[in-house]
Amino acid sequence: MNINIEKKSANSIQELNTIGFRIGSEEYGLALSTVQEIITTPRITRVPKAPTYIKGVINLHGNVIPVIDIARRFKIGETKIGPGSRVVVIDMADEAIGLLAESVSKVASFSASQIQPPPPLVAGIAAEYLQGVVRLRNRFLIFLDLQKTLGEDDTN
Amino acid sequence: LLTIESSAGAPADQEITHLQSVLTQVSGRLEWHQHANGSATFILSLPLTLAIIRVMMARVGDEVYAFPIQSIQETQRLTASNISTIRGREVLELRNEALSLLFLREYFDVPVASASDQGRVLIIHHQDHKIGVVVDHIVGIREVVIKPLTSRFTNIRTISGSAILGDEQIALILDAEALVEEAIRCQGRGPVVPFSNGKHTEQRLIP
Repeated sequence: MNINIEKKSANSIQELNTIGFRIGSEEYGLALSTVQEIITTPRITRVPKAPTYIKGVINLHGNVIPVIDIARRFKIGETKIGPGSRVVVIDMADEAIGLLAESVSKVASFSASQIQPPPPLVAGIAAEYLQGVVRLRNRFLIFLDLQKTLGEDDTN
Repeated sequence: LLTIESSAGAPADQEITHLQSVLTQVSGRLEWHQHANGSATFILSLPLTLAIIRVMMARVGDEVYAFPIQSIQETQRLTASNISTIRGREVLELRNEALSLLFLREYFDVPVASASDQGRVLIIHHQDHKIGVVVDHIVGIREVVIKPLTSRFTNIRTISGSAILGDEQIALILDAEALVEEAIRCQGRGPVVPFSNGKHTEQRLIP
């Protein structure tokens, strides 16, 4: 489910379709294949005693799923909820998870070879949580290691 | 049917008979097989309608919580006359008993815009203990379908699940046992008040 960045052979013509979502001044990339759907931010029910990066739970077609604030997860601020904000629902192995985004940008396609290994720290996020970064003509996409970022027993 | 299977040592026959009669009442059933080594396998079959429970909905600030009805003994108003302080902690005086109180607004850090009244107490019992949970208002009694929360929430013991309400909003379902424990724990060192002295209340479930 995570994008494969191991294949960096120059003759690889593997195309990656991704969407971007913005939190603060940073744009994060997600492989389109991991995205289940993108919804306008519904009312979020706060869950008391949960870690602060869990914004709460939402009703997604009758299922109750958690919504996570990546900015709070990495203690780099808070994702603002406004008219443009969305919840990007991603399909993890055992649960669907909503990621809070201030906005969602259009689909970008590039070859896997354009993904570069992450620098030690990007936007306040340590490299161990990153899969890589991509420089496009006028965009810079950060790819998170979703398993590590959204794993249950990592922070608190 | 939802089937739960487990293995344990065989209890006395009469306990099995009792369990069977309880399960029959809820349209479930119990099967069991004794194994040669002395252990036994019990298969409890429960209808999925058990995932529907009756809850009392209560409001705290802008948030609504659901309390399973079978753990609520009664509700009371919180007034200056029935609250008193014993060794620095606030307790509810209820028919010559002093109950520990859990103020849900403070316990759950509920954001409150205005100082609304924390005017109602749900008297919650679990086994031999009872406590009071202080809320703002009682919304009413509903039947709700239990929607489980994912495993990342299981360590929050006071929250047992969730329910989707008629307006598509979510209410968290609270766990009586954990609330009782937290009320007793948060209040500190005082003695635990025993449940009832043979006196039973007629004032059940009146919001």
